[in-house]
Amino acid sequence: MSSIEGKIYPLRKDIVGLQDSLKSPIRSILRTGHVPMLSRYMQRTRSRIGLPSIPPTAYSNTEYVNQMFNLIKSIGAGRRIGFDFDRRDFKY
Amino acid sequence: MLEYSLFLGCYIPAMQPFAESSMRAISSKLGINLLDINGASCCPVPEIARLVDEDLWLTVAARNLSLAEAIGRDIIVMCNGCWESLHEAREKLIESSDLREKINGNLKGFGLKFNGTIKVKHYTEVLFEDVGLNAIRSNVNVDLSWLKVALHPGCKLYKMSDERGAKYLREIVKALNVEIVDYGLERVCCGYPLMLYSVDKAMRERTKWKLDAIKNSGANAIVVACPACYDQFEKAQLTFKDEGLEYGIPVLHLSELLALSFGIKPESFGLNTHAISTENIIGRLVG
Repeated sequence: MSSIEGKIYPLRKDIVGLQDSLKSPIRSILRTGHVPMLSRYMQRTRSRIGLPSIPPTAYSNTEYVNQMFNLIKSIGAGRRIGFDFDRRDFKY
Repeated sequence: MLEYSLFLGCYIPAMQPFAESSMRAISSKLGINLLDINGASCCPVPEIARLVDEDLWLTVAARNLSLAEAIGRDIIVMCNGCWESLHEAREKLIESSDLREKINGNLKGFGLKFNGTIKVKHYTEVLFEDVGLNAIRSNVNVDLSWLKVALHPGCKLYKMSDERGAKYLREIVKALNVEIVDYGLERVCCGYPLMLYSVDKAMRERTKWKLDAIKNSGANAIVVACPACYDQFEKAQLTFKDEGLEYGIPVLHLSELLALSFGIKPESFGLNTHAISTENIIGRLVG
């Protein structure tokens, strides 16, 4: 929406929400660093086949997730895609 | 000894650990040392992140690349999507110094920097180019000549120059003395990216189309080199089973087929934990 349109239609939202199928993976990446959740069942399966129950990726430490989260927050992506970093969810 | 930084991505560690376990098992047989990239995140998924916000895609990809650069070894990926995301982000950042400066500016506050010093390789590239077919053949000790497989390279392996990823997949499987059944739709997408827009179209106009052709070809299994394609073939079979249409075609990662061929016990890497039963393969091997 241009700045002129913004003056004419002050109540119009300036960001059109992403479709749900795109929101869900982006929300997961911002919350956990990855798209799928690492379930307890899968943690047990990993152990059973000789792997550490939690892989050494962002799943393993919230510090990694926080780094990703703050990195994306710092580049202003939230404004462009309509993500509320306080609620950790999409605005629209 | 060959050394690589293993980029696990999302699907493999959280949903398909048998791919990771079989990869680690075959790597030790082939003299490959895999180094973990601690703290790596989603690549991020190219079909979504690049579309939603290019700056987000490049920044997250550059973070992952810089974590691997700190290890100092080329990255090996087991996912077509991770390969595309990281490889293309790397190319883009190397090509444009302005863009590199901008993305490094994003990373700076977090003590990270992208230098472009390491390459991103799909595991078909590593196996064919770096390990070589002779080394693979010399590890084969189980006769799998009875197994008929349909290959599904996935779109991104055709995106590599000369479509070499798809050729490598075929050559590696041939080296295992496994019969490859041609079904005519090898180049068609599994349908996974289309799931973001229409589950019904993806399942019926892509995956089912392929599954019908694979079933008619008489293949005992589908071999893939990507966890998203794997997920799509299993998910579709489970969906159609609920509608009374049972395909019963197990899906194998290339790493699992290699593990079987190298004589690694199926249960040890989790072949028995697939959603679509692999009993037709395990039963034959054990029996």
